[in-house]
Amino acid sequence: MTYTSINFLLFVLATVLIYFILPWKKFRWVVLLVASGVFYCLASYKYAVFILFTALSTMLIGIWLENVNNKGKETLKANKAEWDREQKKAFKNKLKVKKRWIMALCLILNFGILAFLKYYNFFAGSLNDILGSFGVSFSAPTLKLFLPLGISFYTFQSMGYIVDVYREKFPAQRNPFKFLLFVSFFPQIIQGPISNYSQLAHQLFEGHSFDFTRFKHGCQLILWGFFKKLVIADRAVIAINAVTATSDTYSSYGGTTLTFTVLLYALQLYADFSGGIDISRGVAQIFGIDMIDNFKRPYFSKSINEYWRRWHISLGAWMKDYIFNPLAISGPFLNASKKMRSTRFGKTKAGTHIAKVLPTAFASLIVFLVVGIWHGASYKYVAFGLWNGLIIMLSILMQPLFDGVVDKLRINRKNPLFIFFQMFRTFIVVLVGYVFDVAPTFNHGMMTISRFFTDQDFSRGMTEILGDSVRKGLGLTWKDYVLLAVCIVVILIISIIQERHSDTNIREMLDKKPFILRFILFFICIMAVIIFGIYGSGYAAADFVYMQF
Amino acid sequence: MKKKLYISRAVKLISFALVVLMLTYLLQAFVLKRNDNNTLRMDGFFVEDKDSLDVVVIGASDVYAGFASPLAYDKYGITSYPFATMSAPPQAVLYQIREVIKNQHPQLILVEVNAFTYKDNDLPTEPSHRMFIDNVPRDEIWREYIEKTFPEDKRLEFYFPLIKYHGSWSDYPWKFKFLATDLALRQRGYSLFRGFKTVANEFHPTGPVYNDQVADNNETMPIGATGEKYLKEMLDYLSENNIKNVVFTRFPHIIDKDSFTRFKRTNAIGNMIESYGYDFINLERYGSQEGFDPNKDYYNWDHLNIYGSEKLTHYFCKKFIDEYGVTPSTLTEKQKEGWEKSVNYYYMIYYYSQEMIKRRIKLGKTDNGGTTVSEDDKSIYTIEKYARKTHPELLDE
Repeated sequence: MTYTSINFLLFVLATVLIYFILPWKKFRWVVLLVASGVFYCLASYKYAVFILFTALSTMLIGIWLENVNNKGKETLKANKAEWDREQKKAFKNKLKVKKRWIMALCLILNFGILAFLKYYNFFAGSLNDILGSFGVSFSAPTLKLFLPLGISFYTFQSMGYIVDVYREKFPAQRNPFKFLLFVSFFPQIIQGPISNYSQLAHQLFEGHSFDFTRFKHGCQLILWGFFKKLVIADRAVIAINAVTATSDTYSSYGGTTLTFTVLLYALQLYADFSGGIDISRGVAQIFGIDMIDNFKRPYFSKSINEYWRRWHISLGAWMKDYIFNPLAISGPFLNASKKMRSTRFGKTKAGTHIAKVLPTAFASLIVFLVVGIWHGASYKYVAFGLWNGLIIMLSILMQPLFDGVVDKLRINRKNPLFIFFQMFRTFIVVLVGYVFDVAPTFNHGMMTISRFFTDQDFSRGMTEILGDSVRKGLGLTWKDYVLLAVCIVVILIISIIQERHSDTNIREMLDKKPFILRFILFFICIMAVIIFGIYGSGYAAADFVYMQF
Repeated sequence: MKKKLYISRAVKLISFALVVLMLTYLLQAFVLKRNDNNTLRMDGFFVEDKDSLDVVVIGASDVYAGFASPLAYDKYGITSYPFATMSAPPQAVLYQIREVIKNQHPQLILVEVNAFTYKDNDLPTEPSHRMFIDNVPRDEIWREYIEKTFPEDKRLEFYFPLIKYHGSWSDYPWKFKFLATDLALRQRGYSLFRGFKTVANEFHPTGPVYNDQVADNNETMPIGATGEKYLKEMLDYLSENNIKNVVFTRFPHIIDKDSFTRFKRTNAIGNMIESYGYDFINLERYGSQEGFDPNKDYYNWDHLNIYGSEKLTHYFCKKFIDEYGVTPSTLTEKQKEGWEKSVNYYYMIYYYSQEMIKRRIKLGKTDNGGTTVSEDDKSIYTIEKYARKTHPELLDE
């Protein structure tokens, strides 16, 4: 059941009705749990055991952690008078190590499952390649593995929870059903956002009353998500799939078509992902639950760093909380910084800066390497992560140099042209990263970048994109491209309004407009989805028109 | 105060939902649907006054290219209609007959058997089914056809055709020519061409043809299993329901080496039909004897041109009257007026096609090609323009 299917809408409608009809508010979370269970089992009941395992193991280990912690605190309290400072410190350290091991057990178990299912074949293949190059005849077998629905999202969300319990940010959840709901909440199970327990859990368990405004805004957000997903993303993906169908077809296209495909991918990826998140957030909002916004107009970013604060925000936040921060303040990183400061270079102006930001820069590189691997088991994703990490690392290390150049050139940082230049520059850097996403392999990615510069031929590109009497084109007609262009303008206008009025909620803005205007706007949006959406088995006009008899 | 707010919200919500539903329905019913000459022909059949047709001819493209209902009315007073869609599949024939009986009760139903001649590996695909069933009113026959023909997961797209056809927005503005004609047809209450469609061409086959050598050839070969299954089902239905006023036929086709196996299958189909006690008029076999010339009367291998259809219409009308006792019905003044208008349009098609054929022959073009003339805005405009110059008496102006 995909988020854009009629079945999903009917499923949501039924859940909403039952949720708000149920007279016992404090048990309304049970409706969400049952709905999430049904949703998960309808999608992949065979693999429900994995999510159950993650939920149960994380909850139990969370309780264990909390018990150990409480017991430790009690012991400390009981021996407060007898123990000296050193004894207390030693006990605390011992307790910390124990807690760490317990947490590590949970992380190893659950990330282990994810890593095995998602990356085993990648690592086995790589190992075979490496051993083969040394003439070793050993060959690790590749397995037919499957990925349970939403495994990356629920694993990250659960592991975030266990780290926070370890950090004593909140008490461990002791109700397995409530914890299962936190892990499996159906609007977010497929593509996130990766929610934080302290932000989401209390909202899930609280019995919400029906609120017309929330209902209306939720429906509007779902509609907007449908528009982005069905009208834009699923249309653009037709052309992208035509180019990336096989490695051979991909290689056959010229630089112009490949450039166009990467641009189209930027549109498709944003519309698809943010559209899906809008649907998730809209559904949650109807139930009275606010999920975090995963996207904040990422293509308006003025630096790659900012881009990652606006794109897939929940993943970025997770990485920052659970990987970047611990790394940046870890002993080896701080020691490296200290060591550099004590060198001759470290005493220069540049050296001082580099030594100061070194932990941050290296932590960023590692984080983005992880982000790359998170995207998929392939060298091209490693390249995607490394590219972003290196750019961020360089921008951190060389910040004073860039600032100096801007100052020397007397550029006003608030000048719209300069801001536009920054956005454009960042977009190009983002596009280069996308190349590795689009291309079938790492080598194809490199080939694409080379063709960007060496193989631009507009007329060949037009023929490849639109087709002619010999070539079929990319599966879209010029009318589709015009429609996509109109959609880009619509998204751009909305984004500019949001950007200018610092995150203005468009729906709240619309509430203040006359009824008839809202009526027309929503009506147009619904009709646009119905008419221009890509759904159903498709209509090939040629089947009817040109098949003469 | 709260009550007033609730009422106001409810009214707004309901009115919004109603407008959306209404427009969605209108889009589905008229705009975002499969609109082509098959739609116009089918719609034309269903807007005919109830029980106003003497004869209905059922089948595929060879029927609406071969039988000219306006000519049958002009020369014999017989009201008829080609209830046919492009490459109609074998499953469709029984349902075509049932729709005809439900809507018209004609004196005679002539069934062209093309649908049963397909080999199993060459059966018509979904578009062919849709050309028929998407244009049938939402009745029990329609529902039964969908349920019997398509798996459950496919049916929703038939019940809500917008799911299938919403993408047809990109056919506009080109498709306006069908939409405008369809709306005019519904408003008028009858179709101008009465389902007739032709291609202005005189086809000259390049290789050897066997039409004049097959009159005595009664060789058979097995029909495709699907064709046989549905032929039997249809014949059983006719027998069980004691439906006698049905005659089967095979329209003339050019027979060459490739289509000879089809000719043999047609013989087998004829034998099966006759075993149920129904007449089978095989003009594929006896066409040459009846004067159908492979070098003059066809616009391609399988379809008669304007000359061939003229001959075929005369041939059958004589048969209807002489052998099957069809008598022209009494029509109201309004009905007569409509038929006379269709006759005028038929002659406009005829003269225009004649001129186009002459021009093509002058250019030495006798291959598979030519100008299509069907009941759409563009064709109507073209033939009216030509008639204005050459036969202004055919126009109302």
